[in-house]
Amino acid sequence: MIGGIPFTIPSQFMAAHATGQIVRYGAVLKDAHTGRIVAHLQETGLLQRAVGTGLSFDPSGASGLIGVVQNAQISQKITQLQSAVGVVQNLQLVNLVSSVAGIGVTAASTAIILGRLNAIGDRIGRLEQGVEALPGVFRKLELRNTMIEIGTALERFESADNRRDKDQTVRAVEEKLHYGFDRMLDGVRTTAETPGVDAEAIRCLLASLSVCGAAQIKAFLWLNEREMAAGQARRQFVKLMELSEMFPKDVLMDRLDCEADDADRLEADLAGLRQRFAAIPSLVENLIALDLDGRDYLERLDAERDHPLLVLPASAAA
Amino acid sequence: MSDEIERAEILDWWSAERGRIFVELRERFPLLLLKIDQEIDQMPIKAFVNRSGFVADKINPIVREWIEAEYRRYSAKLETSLKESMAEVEGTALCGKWSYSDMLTAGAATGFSVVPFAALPFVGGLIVTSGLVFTTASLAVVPANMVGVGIGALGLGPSVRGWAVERLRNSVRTKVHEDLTLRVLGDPNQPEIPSLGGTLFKELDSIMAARLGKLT
Repeated sequence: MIGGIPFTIPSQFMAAHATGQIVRYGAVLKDAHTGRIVAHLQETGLLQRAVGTGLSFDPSGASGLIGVVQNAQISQKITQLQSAVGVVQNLQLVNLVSSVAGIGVTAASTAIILGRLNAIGDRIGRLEQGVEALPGVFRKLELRNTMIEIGTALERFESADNRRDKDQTVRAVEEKLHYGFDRMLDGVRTTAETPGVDAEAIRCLLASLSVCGAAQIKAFLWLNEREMAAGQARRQFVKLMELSEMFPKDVLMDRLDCEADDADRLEADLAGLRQRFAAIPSLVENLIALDLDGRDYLERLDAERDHPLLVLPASAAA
Repeated sequence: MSDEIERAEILDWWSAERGRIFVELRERFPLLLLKIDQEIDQMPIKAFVNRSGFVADKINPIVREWIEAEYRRYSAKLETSLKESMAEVEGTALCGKWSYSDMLTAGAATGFSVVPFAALPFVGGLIVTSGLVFTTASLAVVPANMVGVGIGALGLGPSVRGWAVERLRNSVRTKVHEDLTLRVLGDPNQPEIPSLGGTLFKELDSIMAARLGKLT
């Protein structure tokens, strides 16, 4: 129990993970034999700050958008963190943090989400300004404008605690994020259907889709509307599955006419998104089964200073 | 209870296998073209008059054998990969009860998987069904029938005849390569034309649908 929430630390699962009894799929730890979820890994405020400050790091947390140098910086930072707090390397912490899945971006502080979104918005803005090889369809989507609207909504989310009408503010933010998620989803679909489109444009859109989806679930948890969070997480997952079925790896390679490396990165981003979105419904079900308050859960993770990762064991009832 | 993790894992498997087939087919397809080119290099002059006969007698058997062998190779790999994935996702108990062909039969799409490749039209038939009849005579400066019987009568020398034959040979090669590309790799814009790649993709789609269906 940490801070009133039945968190444990990852080292308790290390032996089972090392022997193959437990396997990790994104932020989920599963029983290798039954496939049953045994726990959810969650990044904490300590980890977020370690990778989110002092680095020019990452627009989004998406693997494809982190350059080699930046990855090396993150890797160094995480290695230092690991030795400092004793997190066992078996869980491939660096991969988790630098992948599009991240872990528990749902719980990341709003300021960090906002920072990621702004960086993606800048990247999209640069893409829109470029004249070469960017299809008109990308410009017509006016995604930059959508990003600005979402950014504004997230700023309001960040300051919600200081407002008298805080719940009403966060509800309005959630609505805007829902709209943003659907707009980004449509943007990915429309852009990826355009032959010869630049792979980076799609990666940017996937990253912003990821941020919008995660922030919307965070808004529901902040409001402690856990059933709504679970329902919306499922809807997001279904939409992402439909998108994934439209763009398996062979279609990406054929449609984009890109290098195999680009297709691999895109596929990895999509798979990372699937991992993240797949984990959230069961995480929220777990919060419901354990009768944990959504806002308490978020605040406890954000406030954590000793452990970069915490584990929430699955309730038998979830 | 949530089954999103299992669904995502099944889709991971499906997408990765489609990607692997896409890449491997493109890596291995040139091996078939090399074999075919050897036959076309040895194509006698008289065969240019009856090119469809040449394709049926010499090209089709090679293509049929190659496609059948590749189909068996991919099917075996998919069977192994499916078992591994099912053991990981659905659990070893279910994995033991279902084979690759069982999953195909259980899939939403049916029929395509049991079509023996030998029965499908090969290059000659494909050319006819797709309306891409060998009209390559127009590509050659000297029509094929003249190569066979008329060049000598026209009094053209051996160097001209050799040049004309090479033009015809190249045009046959180009056309056969185009048809084989369609036949092996397929064309997403022409899904009605059966291809090895298209068939394997349909099988994978069907298996994914069956696996997802069993979760609900």
